[in-house]
Amino acid sequence: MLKVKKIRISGFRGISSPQDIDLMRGGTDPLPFVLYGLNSSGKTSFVDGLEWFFSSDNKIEWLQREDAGANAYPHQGSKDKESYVELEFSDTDKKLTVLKKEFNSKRITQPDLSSKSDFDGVYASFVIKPYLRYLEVIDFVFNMGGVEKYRKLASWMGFEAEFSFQEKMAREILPELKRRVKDLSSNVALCEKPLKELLGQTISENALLVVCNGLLRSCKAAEVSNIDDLWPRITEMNRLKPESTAGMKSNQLLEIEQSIPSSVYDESLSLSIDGFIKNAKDFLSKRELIIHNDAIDLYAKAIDVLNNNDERPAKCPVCGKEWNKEELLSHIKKELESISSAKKEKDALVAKIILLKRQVKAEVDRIKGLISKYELAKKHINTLEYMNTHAYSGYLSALADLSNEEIISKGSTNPITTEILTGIKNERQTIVTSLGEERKKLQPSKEESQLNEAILKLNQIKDNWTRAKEANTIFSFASVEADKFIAMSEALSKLIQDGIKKRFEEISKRIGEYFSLLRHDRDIKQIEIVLNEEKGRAAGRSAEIQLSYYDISVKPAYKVLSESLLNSLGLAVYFTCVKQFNDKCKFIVLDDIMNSLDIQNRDTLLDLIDKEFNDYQIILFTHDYYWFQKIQKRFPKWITKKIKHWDYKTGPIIEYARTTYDEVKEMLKDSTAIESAGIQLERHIEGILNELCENIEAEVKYRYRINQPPSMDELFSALIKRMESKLGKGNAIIDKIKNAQKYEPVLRNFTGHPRDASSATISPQEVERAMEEWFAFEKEVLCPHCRRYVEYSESKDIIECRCAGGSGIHLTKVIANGNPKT
Amino acid sequence: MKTILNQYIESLKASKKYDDEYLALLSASLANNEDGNTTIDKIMTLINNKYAKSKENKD
Repeated sequence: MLKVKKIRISGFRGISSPQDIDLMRGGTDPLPFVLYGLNSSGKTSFVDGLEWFFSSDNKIEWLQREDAGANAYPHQGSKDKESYVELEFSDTDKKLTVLKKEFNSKRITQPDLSSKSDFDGVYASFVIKPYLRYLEVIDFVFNMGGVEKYRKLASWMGFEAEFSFQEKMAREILPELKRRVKDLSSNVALCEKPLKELLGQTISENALLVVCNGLLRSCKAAEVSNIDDLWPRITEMNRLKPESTAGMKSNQLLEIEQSIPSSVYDESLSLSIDGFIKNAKDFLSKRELIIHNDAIDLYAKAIDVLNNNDERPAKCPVCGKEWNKEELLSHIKKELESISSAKKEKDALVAKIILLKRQVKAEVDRIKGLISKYELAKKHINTLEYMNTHAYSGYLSALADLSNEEIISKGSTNPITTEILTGIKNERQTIVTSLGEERKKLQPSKEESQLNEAILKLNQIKDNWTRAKEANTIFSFASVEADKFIAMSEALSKLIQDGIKKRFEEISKRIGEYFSLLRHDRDIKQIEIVLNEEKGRAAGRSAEIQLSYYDISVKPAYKVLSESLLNSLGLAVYFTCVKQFNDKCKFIVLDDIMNSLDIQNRDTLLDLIDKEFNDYQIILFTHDYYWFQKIQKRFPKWITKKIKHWDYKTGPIIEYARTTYDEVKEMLKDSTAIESAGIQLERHIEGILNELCENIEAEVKYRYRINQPPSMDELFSALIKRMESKLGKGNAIIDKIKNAQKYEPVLRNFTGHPRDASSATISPQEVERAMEEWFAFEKEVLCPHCRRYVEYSESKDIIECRCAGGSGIHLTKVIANGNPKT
Repeated sequence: MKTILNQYIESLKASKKYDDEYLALLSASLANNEDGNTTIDKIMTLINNKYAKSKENKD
């Protein structure tokens, strides 16, 4: 079990000189703690320091939102080694003692740790981060979408590994697997295209047999009735090829002619090269900047160093030259921006080069194949020329061999001109025509020609059919295998989701309990964190809060809840997660979280802490003095301190906070502080009177039109009247309140007539007697167990402490039927 | 936390409903903390190998 014995923060945010918060008061167990301070008194600096200490990334999240980086963490006046956070722990495992995290101005994102392994031990002690700020509550409930909420819950509840696996599967692996299977299907279409041309529009075994039998008939060969018989028949037909020299040569020429494709080059390639050259030209104007690419880190570091450097003029950390600090900062920021933007452009350009090279390589292979066919033709017709095709091939091969850098720097003009492309087309036409003419010159017999053409076509059909069939088999095989993989990954996802749902269910019950402690709205029931499983992109990877509102199921909860209810819900979720998942870490740092609650619901947060977090060490920071006083009263064992004053040079000045009774008593020892003592006492009494009147439902005058609250005398009278009606006249408690009321004129003098000379005539003895009488009464109506004031119970028609209900174990202050019991 | 994922994979293995080779591939992907691209390349290689093997068996 881990708790905090002492916090020391130095040179951090608004704290200049070292500040200690001692969380021990005798004994061995660290105590809960509350620090009161006005806004801007340095209180948040403590929370920032603690967040930085407990963050394994060494970050303060809310400052990042404000665009402030690590350079904003140390106090601007602090020097090296003066900026640190040090915590002394109470560890029942006796592993962790004193740990120190020290800001390192040379490596601002990597502070010096007193012991890395000890810090790892601290980080490992909690699943839920042990600090919460007001803004985070709002953010979680209200601003985050389903996926963000799920991510946050993943981090709170420790299922990040499952979350990142789900993300990787859903966003990368499965879409890419489907895309690659689709590629195989496109390959089938590509292989079927020439087959369609040979068979007509339909590809089927029947169409294949019809066309092939037609060809067999034309050669006077016997027809076949199935494919199994067709392939051996084509092999036999090959043996029937003409044996005359003219016939053989004509056959060879025909094979070459038919192997030359009608479309000889990739028409989109030249356009791709044009587009790339344009991008490269734009980029080349920034080429100088890219030379300084390596300076990005250096410049970024320089900005951090300069931000922490108060010297004026400042030395440039890169070149050492003296500059005006602001000018230098502005210059470096500008440089950094330009280089970073040029780097981005270069990265985009390199990505384009990779795609372009892939396209070029495919074209090089294709043109090489074409040239080899031309070379075969040239063996028969040696006058054939194909200069443009060669030039095209040469340029592409050279382009494919260039490095990325060379492609960028040489990419000025596209040598693939329209003339070259037209030349390539003309060369193809000339070669095909020449081959046809050459065949004619050979004058093979009509039968020989028919036989040649039929055999050639039969072979082409066989090749293309086999190729298409193979592509189809691969595609079908891969589809089935991909489906197997997808089914397996779905089963795995289901297991993950069921596991997470189970954890959501576990915490949902507790969230409901905590929410009902924080709020007494009976119309809100069945609060649950649910996994979004409906169809959609983030199905199974996002979560929402669902509840029943007036018996209608609502999701997400923020659709119907007021901001205050939502905040209570956020707190219920956070506290539940802490309770459920932080076994070892038994402290929670809370920064002004009551801010998110309505004033009337702030007590319930104390109820929650009291009931469920009694074994936790709460370290609380607040700017709400009323709430602070409540804590003092409710939790007398807590260490309570207040920030008396703050200024830039010294930081906050902290002192122990005493109870009103002790503070007034102390003031009365000082003859110059009598008035202050009177004012403080009057405010205290008035506050409690208001609360008591509300608790026991006393009727108090309310002057709406002049917006004036009831006077102290009116509050006393209302309280007495109500108590008399419930307890009967002459009750001992009523006597005590009447005794206190006698001093109302004395106290009124301090506030009602501050400038009246008569106020100076009141003696410290009178104030002290007023105080003693009041606290004698207050003691009677404040439960010593739950530290709350008595209330009126309508169902029992009695005045009692709330904790008196049920078993009656704490029934020490029931005031009923005129017989107060103790 | 990887342990939980491995436990899930083990339970799928025990169910004998899923291909052991894919399960082993996922297990390795988790153990090596592979990125999505590496895993997908391995899946495609495995599919190709399986196809080659099935063709061999047919022949």
